[in-house]
Amino acid sequence: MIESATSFRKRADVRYRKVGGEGVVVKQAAGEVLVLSEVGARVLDLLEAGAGVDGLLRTLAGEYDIDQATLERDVLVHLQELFDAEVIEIAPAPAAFADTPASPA
Amino acid sequence: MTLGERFLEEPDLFPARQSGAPWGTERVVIHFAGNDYACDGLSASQAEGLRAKFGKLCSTAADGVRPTVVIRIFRVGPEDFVIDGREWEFDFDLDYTATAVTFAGFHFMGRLDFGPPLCAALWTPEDERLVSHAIFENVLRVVAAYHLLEQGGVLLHSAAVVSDAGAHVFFGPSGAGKSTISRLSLDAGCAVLSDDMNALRVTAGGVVVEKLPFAGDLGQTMETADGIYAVRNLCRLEMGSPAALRDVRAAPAIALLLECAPFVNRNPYKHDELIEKLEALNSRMPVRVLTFAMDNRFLRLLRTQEPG
Repeated sequence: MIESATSFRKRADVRYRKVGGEGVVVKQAAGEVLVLSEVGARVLDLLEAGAGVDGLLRTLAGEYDIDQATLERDVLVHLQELFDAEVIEIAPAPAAFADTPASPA
Repeated sequence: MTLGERFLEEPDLFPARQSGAPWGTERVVIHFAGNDYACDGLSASQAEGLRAKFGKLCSTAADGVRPTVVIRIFRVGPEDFVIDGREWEFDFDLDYTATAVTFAGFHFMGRLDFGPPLCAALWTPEDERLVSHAIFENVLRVVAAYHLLEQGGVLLHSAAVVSDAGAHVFFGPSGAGKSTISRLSLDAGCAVLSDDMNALRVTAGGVVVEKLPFAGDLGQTMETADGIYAVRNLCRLEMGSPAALRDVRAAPAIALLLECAPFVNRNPYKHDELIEKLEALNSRMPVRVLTFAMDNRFLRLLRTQEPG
């Protein structure tokens, strides 16, 4: 189950390009080609730009005339579809603390 | 997974450069799709095999007018390849870098360096079987696919059918009906280029198609037509009834074409370039989906419903 706090990123073997507003995705390891709707393509654009789910929702709320509950439901459905299709994966959480430099001996 | 580990004893020793001991001193030049493919370093029996396979497309020298890709053939020992009693496999692995494609298969390894100029090398312990067991043809398909892309074209897994008005190109993966529709077209008096792979290019005058010497089920048993033809229809095949043509939006059209652009469509370094070429192709000749049954009603449909 995807939650709004989760972060995603495009998988390394996935290539993506916008064509006529929609998205064409190539899963190169599997040799599969997928077409994303305009909204699906926009979601992937924002993920590639580094947005988390909360950021996605904020940005899309400004772009689509839709109530917050419907937007959140639709975006989570799109994310689930992209995740199930192995186009995106969960991004590792950022490290809680900066690495401590090694002390000189 | 390392390239060729199914096929090579020591995949890490894959040749990094195009060098080695040639099989012999023979050269055969194969002409098709406006290009020359010059195969150097052949043994006498390999050269004879190529001349038998590619017939009138062969000569001993490039004419100097057409773009030429050199393919060097090198001899290596059989001990470089996995010998485990398997039956002969025609499938092979490809790997990609920004400057080359490397491939390894049953008793061969090869590399295509983008240069410029584009040039290829093939290492094999096989003499006669270089041709008889399709080693050379598999490599030539890869080379031709990249060469066409470099020239602004695309190698499309397709059947091309020619009538008085021009050519209809039907594409789709294996099992989509390319050989079937080629047979139906022949029965209706049309000619067929290749029923498996054709070269498409966008020119100032429109999209043109030319056959490649790679035949499917049909072309193995019959003489096919030659020449360059203006494309009148570019259709993804679907078998079914009734016969119908439907338009496709740009993104699904590009996706359908991508599925049928072998060897290049999995290369991450060529992804954008390939899509640009396919977008140019689709904008000049919009892809439609053709549903056809086991009769020739599709030909009437294509004549009466030309793309808008």
